Amino acid sequence: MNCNDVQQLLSEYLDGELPVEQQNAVRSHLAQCNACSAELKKYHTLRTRAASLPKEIAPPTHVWASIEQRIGTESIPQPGSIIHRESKAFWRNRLFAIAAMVLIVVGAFWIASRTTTQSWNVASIEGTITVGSAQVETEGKLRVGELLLTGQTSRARVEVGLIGHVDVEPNSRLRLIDASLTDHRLALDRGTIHATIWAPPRLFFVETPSALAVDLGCAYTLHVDSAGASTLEVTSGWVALEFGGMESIVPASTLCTTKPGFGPGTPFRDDASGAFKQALTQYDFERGGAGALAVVLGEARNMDSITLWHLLFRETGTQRARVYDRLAALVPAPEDVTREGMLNGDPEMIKAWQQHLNLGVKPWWKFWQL
Amino acid sequence: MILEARAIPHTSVHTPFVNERHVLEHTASTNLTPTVLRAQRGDRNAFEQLYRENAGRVYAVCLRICADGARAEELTQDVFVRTWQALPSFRGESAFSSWLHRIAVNVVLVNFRSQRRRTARVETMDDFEQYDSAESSVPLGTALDLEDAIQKLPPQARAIFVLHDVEGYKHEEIAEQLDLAVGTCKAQLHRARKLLKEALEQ
Repeated sequence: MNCNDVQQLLSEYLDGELPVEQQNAVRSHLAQCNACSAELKKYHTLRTRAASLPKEIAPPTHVWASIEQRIGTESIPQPGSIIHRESKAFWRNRLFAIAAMVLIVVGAFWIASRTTTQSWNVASIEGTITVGSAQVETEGKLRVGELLLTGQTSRARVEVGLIGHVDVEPNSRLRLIDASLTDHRLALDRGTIHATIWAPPRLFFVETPSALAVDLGCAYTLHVDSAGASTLEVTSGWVALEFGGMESIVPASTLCTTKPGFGPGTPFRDDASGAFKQALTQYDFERGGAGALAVVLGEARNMDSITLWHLLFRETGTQRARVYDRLAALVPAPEDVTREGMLNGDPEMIKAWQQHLNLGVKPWWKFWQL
Repeated sequence: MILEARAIPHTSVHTPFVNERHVLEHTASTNLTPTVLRAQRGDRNAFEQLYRENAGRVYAVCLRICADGARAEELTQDVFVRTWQALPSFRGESAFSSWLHRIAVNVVLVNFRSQRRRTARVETMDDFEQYDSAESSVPLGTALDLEDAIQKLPPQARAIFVLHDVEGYKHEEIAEQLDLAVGTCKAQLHRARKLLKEALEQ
């Protein structure tokens, strides 16, 4: 091995990445070659200097002002942060809410007396599963805080209190977070579950690394990959995906993906064109911006209105107008809905078009970005 | 995959939502400082304080990887807006600064990949040859320091060098984030070091 050969390998030698034979050959050469040893020292110095570069560089002072402006329109939803006007309607609603709460509490105590709330029944559908620290071949109990693990071939069914069940596919890791009557909560770290719930909305929740799936009365499949990204496919009813103030409402026959740090993407139908789905991924997770949006709008069909409806709330200004125009071309708005009114976020018009599009009862106007 | 810096203690990737109960449970955690808790409840003054304490580290990684001051400012903004959006999910399982740094690196790399796709230009070893020839005709000056030399590296080599040698990430993590083979990642790092060494020798 001559000097030229050795000098080509010095960086890898420094990191200890060469095969043993080559590593030894380079070491032998360095022991008797001052020139190559000096080169190695330079690489070592470079690596040391790189590691000790300042970890902080002050950004220009105006950066914070821009951030402040941007987050000014994106508040973190806080319980009780809405200021109510003390009108007759307010007090009437409040009394109604108190009465409803009393009924719920009485009902809850009645149900509580008939069931356990600290664990859920779990059964193996196939193979041996791990529940907490126990190996289960037939039936067991999943307690709050415990993990349920399925192996390469094993599957399980978890009874969600009295309100439904969850089937757990192989290679899944599921944790029971809460088993109270008003908060049935699992965390899916990885793997796949099929949930079937027959309860009023917002009683069953699944936390994933990149979003919270909120049951709105439905059946769905949720998959979480090793990177924490998830894919939701709703088979009936509705599911909300929430993360950091962002929300996607996913109806039956619709999918939605989420990624750590981004939260939920825009819901879409699986039968949309490949170009549509690719552009939507770029828009949601790769800063595809106006270019990706243009492809999505160009490829959209009338049955993709759920996607365009979400985009209407995620865009502002001229891009929002483009989304509106495309949506209105595909699914004409009702007579009492005007372009100007919609672009100004008129709550009544949003509600009217929402009903026209059959997009559920969610108060979408609350999500309008100014 | 979310990058984990070697210099940063390992933390769970799982960051489920925080509700009031979780906040109460974790109040004792040293990572959920009073400032972080206030910011999670929507206090913008608290969030500004977190920005003041951490902006330098975020801006440094944005600037070194994208080598463009204006773009680095935009990315720094994006990082903190995303952090604001994601704050309810922070459960204090790692230091806030570590969590923020991971968001920063992921935002920068998503931007990096997006730009790479937009220009439909996959960097190959040929790019290094162009860099070699360009460097031979452009005098770098004797006062060229390491920061300047890093900025002049080809984009992909620069990102890999910064993440590996400056930030301390592993080849496997970088390769996965950049959609590269681990071998390609290593080859580009060694070539980047060679170019930097030569530039600094001048």
